Amino acid sequence: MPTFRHGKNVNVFIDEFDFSTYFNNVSASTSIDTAETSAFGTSAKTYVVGHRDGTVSLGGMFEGTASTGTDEFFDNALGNATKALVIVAPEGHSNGAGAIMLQADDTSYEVSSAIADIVQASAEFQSTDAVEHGKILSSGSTVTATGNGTSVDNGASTTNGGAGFLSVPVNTRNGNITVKIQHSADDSTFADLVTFTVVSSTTKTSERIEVAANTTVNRYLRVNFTVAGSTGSATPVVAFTRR
Amino acid sequence: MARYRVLSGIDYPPNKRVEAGKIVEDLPATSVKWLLESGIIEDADKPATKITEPVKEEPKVEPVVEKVEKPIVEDGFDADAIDIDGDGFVQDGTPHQRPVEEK
Repeated sequence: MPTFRHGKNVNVFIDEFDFSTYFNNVSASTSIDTAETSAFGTSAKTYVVGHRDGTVSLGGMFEGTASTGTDEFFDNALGNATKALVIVAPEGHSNGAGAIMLQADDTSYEVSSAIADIVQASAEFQSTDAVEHGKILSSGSTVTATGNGTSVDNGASTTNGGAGFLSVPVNTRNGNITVKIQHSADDSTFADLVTFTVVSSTTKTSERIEVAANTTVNRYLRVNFTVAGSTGSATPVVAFTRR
Repeated sequence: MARYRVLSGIDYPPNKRVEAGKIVEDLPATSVKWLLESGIIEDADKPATKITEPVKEEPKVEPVVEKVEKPIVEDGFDADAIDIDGDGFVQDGTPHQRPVEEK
């Protein structure tokens, strides 16, 4: 029996912002170039594949609050040399849920208004290293102490590296937080795979770290937090895509 | 008991943590095989894996050949020409015919 998902639980994280409550429409597109190799004597066209490509389109409500609203973010992102880190969680960002990830350039931002409707905003991101599908390893639930997340079982190991994404949209912790992605073959002993830059006290941040090609990523993945300080909390969202 | 050198940080039961570079003896037996195969640990009784710094290639510098510019000399011009026939001109009948310069 297939398991279908309702669109109401979709989440969208861009850099250190959770924009889930600003949008009501998201579309992630992945494609690959083809070059035709048909020659005389063939009865059907033949092709070889080339570069992967992808875009993410967002549509929703305009919000102009300084520093936190979508308007300021997308206005700044347009043409910014720093790539935006986008995580789309189509089935919600629970642990083990699917995640669509890309580092991308904001290529368009549109605000539209009609007399009888809400002011709307839309944006489009062009990926710079394809759109990749992976898993959420940390759901963004509140972290206040050192510990591990629940492991996510891929069913088998993979051998070609991957990429880890981190977004910390809320952080009131009065101490540093170290976030790692760990992997394991037996779901018991875990080794460090990705160590993100230490998240400083009360800092909202985002980061993407590549795991080199030809690196074995074992069957089980989990997130590990080392939390300093005494008060406050953070809600890190972590996702990983295997290759 | 077998000793292993840890090459990447490990968390293992019961709630233990060991950082890269340390030597451990109490890893779970069931984990040792895959940790060895993944290159996360190595036998501590063997020489340590050397962390080799990437060799930085010196930038190749092409030898600079200085071009020695030759003085531009017009074809047939003789700066040391002498007035053989005593008519007051040198290089008679050529494009470079000119009066004898007084030295």
